[in-house]
Amino acid sequence: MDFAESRGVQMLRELCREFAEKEILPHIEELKHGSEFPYHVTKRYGDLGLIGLTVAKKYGGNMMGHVAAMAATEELAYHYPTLGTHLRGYRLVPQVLEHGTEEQRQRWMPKLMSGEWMGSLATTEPQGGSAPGTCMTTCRREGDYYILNGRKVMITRGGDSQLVLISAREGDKIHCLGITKDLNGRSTGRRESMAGVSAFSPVDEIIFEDTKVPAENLIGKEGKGLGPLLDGIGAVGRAGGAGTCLGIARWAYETARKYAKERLIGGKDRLLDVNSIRYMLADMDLRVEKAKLLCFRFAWQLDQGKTAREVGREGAMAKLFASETAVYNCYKAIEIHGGYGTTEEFKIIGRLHSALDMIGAAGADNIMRNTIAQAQDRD
Amino acid sequence: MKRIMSYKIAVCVKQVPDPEFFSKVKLDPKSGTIIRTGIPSIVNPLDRHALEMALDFKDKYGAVVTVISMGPPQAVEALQVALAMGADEAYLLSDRVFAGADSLLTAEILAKGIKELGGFDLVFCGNIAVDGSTGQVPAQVAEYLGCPHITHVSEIELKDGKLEIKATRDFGYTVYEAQFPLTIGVNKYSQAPRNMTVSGIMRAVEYKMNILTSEKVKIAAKNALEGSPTRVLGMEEVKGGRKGLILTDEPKEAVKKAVERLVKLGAV
Repeated sequence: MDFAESRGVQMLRELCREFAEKEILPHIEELKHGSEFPYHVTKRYGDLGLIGLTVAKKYGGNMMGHVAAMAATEELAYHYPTLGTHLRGYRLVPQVLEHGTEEQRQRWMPKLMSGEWMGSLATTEPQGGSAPGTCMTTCRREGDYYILNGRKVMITRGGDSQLVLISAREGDKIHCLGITKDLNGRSTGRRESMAGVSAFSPVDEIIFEDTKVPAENLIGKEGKGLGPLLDGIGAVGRAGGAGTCLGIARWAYETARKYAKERLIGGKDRLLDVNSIRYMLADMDLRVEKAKLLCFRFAWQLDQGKTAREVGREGAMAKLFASETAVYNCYKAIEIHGGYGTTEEFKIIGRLHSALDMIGAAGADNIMRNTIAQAQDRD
Repeated sequence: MKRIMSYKIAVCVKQVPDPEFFSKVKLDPKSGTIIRTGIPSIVNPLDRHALEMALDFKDKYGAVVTVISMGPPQAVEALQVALAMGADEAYLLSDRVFAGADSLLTAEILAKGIKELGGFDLVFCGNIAVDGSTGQVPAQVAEYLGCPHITHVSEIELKDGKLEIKATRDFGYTVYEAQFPLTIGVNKYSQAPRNMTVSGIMRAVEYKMNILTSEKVKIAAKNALEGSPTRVLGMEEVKGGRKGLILTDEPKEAVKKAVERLVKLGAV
């Protein structure tokens, strides 16, 4: 069993680090408080090839793999959590389009891969997000169109995305439909004010009022819409969420250790030499390593051809543990920093906010426990 | 526009210790060379600027860009970064006999490697490396190649078959007209280097690296230490610091005293 990271993944981490440090962080305040969505950032993800990490070359991807995608998400989130969220988001729609037709992939993939278009998945509704099967957005077939009515909430970049894939119910059947921005009847409702992992990635309500969707925008088969969406959420969403949490957790540990090394108590003794601090840092380091093993095992399994459903238990473990580690490590980092820990200057409080955001995202933590328990029941 | 010329460009690239870890770098007391074990390495920052200038020239006018490095086997990593940025070919000049070469012998080896590869229209180097900091290699390579050189270059353009070169320093700039072949030392005022791309990385890790040993690139001396006219005798970390003076007077009085002190020090 070879745990060494490949040279390619090492270089990918360097690419992500340079992108974050040189192109994003110097402009972070403008990005956070800008009035318009920074589409140029999406384009850069496309230019660098990050969106196509698990997409076939014939559609403009590079197929570097899920392990590479996990490392890239972790590294981006380490430098700024929203960057991990962005990568996860951009990769979701291409994953679902694996279940679409060749014509749909030829139509949409080039624009998604290049970053010219953004995609979003929209399954969450006011009555619930963790159970996409309870979908209440309706559609009815009329000739060459589906007519949509309903609304989706808490959709990352929902208002700004050029292509949104949604679940919609026709009687007892659930379809998956692609909704482009130009369709009449699609509008953006309430926009949530987010900090944390959604700092420049707004979270929107999308409203459908007699929206006419061309029938050729049906993804997969009629009535079989949940499968493609859950595959996207499982393979990319969950992995991306786990990777984002891993990046936050690692940042919190390394930041706390650096602080403890430099901080002198009474001008002479290092904080690092205090036993209680050493034990906290040991715990934080251990948790990062455990989270890393779970996250990369899941990614490796996807690279071996397993579907998200087949390794649902492993994906749930990765996301759940990485999420809890992110919160734990940020909390401990605040303890180690003492009074400085909750100041804005030291940034830990912002990272903790991001970690808390991730509890309910990419598979809420308690739903992940349910997934693990269901796998146990099958034994 | 169909390009009718494809220029041949060489870029000299050096793998150096990461400056963030300079305080941990030690010298081998016998050879005066840096002990690299345990110290992370990077591509010399100005060499990335040099490569960017070469790739920009390629984008505008058409060229094949070859990166060349002299170093131990691990220097392959620096060449991989260059390939991932967009270089077409990569060569590593590596042999135990080359180990410990000073800047003059390094330049000779690089120049011989360049000649072995058939020569180039343009040779780009970073103006200075962050570890040795001699700034001598670009000019020395040019001398061994028998071609002119310009250093501190920030911009290059091709106009009617001739090169227009801008060399920028802190106090101003000079514009030169030059012809091929030419060796160029690129400085920090040049365009920021492009990133690697994912497809570039995938190509780089699959690339079969070309290695040139002393069999193809011969040096006169038995080994580089004997063949180097200079040797590093020591290295110290310069610890900077400031003298501080805290004035606790009322603001007007404190400002008066601060100005008096600055005048006394010749700062104003």
